[in-house]
Amino acid sequence: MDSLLCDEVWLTTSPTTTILNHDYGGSFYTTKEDSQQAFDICLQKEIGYMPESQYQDHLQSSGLILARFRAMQWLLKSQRRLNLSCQTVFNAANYFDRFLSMNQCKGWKYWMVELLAIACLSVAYKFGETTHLPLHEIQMEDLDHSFQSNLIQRMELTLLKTLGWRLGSVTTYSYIELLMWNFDSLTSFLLGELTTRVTDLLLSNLSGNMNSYNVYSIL
Amino acid sequence: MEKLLNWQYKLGKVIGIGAYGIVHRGLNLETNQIVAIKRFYTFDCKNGVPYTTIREISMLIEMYHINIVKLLDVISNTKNEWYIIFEYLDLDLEKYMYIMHQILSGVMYCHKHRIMHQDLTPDNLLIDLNASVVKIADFGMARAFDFPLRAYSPEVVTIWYKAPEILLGSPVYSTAIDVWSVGCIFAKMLMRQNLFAGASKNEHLRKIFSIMGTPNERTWPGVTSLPYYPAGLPEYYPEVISIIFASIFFYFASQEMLCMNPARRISARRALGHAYFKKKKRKEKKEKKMTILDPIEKKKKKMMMMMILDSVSFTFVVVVVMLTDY
Repeated sequence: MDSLLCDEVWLTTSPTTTILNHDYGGSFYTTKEDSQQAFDICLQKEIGYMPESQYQDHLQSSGLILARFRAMQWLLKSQRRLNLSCQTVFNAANYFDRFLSMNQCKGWKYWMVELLAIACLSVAYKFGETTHLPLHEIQMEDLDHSFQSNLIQRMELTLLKTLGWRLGSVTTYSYIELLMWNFDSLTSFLLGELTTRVTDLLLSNLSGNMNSYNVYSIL
Repeated sequence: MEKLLNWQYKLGKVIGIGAYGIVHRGLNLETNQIVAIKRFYTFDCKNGVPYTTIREISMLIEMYHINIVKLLDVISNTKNEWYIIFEYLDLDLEKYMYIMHQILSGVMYCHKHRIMHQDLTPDNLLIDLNASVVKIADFGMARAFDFPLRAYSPEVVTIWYKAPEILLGSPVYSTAIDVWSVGCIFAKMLMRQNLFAGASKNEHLRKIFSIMGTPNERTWPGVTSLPYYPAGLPEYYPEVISIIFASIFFYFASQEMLCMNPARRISARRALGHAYFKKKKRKEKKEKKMTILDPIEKKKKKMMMMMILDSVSFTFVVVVVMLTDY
């Protein structure tokens, strides 16, 4: 695959943007039981957020491996450009995989994949981020095509319908905070450092093959 | 009820207007279930699907809890108009407030007609859910009063809603005792438990004092010479009750309706004149009276009303269900 991607800038390690700004002294959950309960709910829910089975085969047979790789790279670049939270990127990637796995048509063109990636990022952004972002800013860079906003809106609606409006995805990233509870002996600096490393690892994994086919909690 | 939605829902009256859409009452033609239908304003294409829509639907679609409104369906028609179908509920909190207004109106009416209810409790306040109307019931303890106010039997009013002047054995008391009861009922509506709940008269008094502060000659002239004024009570200071009530409205209610000194307690009429209720009244005028669609449901409610009518002693007194436990 390397030869195919000679012109791509590989983003194997992601920029550590927003993540270092967090204070790791406090967690969203204040007690271990709450955290444990949240963990259990994640485990129960995650299967519902997995792509359909045989997604990998589908990607291969439809020749979408490269397209997916490029879309993921674009998501990672957008994260840096728009200063997105990691959760948004993971959500967008999750919507992307779920949608592709549910639409097993053969005639995917690359522009369709790009449109899908834009819609995924836009929906994930609206779902999780706190500021407003116009559609034209999302598709400002690194794309081969540019789309009218009403087309993007229609794609968003198709995406939302296909996903059954279920957007609060459980992804590998969801487990990070929950797992960090077990390292409560670490100082907040070390915890931040560790979280950053793990997040980097997961982000770089995103564009590879592994991510989408494994149960998230195992990762 | 003319408009059809995907041949599945009948679109009825508008029951609410929000920043992002209009809520209609509706009927599911397959199940005959009454629903609420939220119709979104046409999406502005520039920014795609609004984030509020995305969040509202995606959050609710995964929540199944008795105390969270149930999202039943998301549908779109050929014109790309989007609708969310919710379970239908009778009252929102605004109407809940409106209920308070009605309770006070009823009490004011009684007082104006020189009647003291003397036994205002949550189970004596009945609600007609069809019309969102509250009715004061059970006048078995009520008395017509005249001036000067003579001493009444102190054994009226269920203890938890009894005003402190009764508990302290004041020889005279007035309409202010009803206002105290209403204050306690409001608190219970909000907190779903009694603000003051003592097992005995003395314990109850102590509970009141511990929250409202021990009354003294300065805050309530004459209080220490009342027959049951307990000696040797600790000097409690009023709690910052606004934290308990968590809203300005309830702060108002607590400070003025639950004022220990009956002479300073707000009257039902003045309480109704509070700015909060004035706002309500304007809004109320705009609201159209709600009517029920389903005849079976209507029948059921009517039967419930009849049953309760039987059990209520007083003749002209009416209707349904203890609000707080509904």
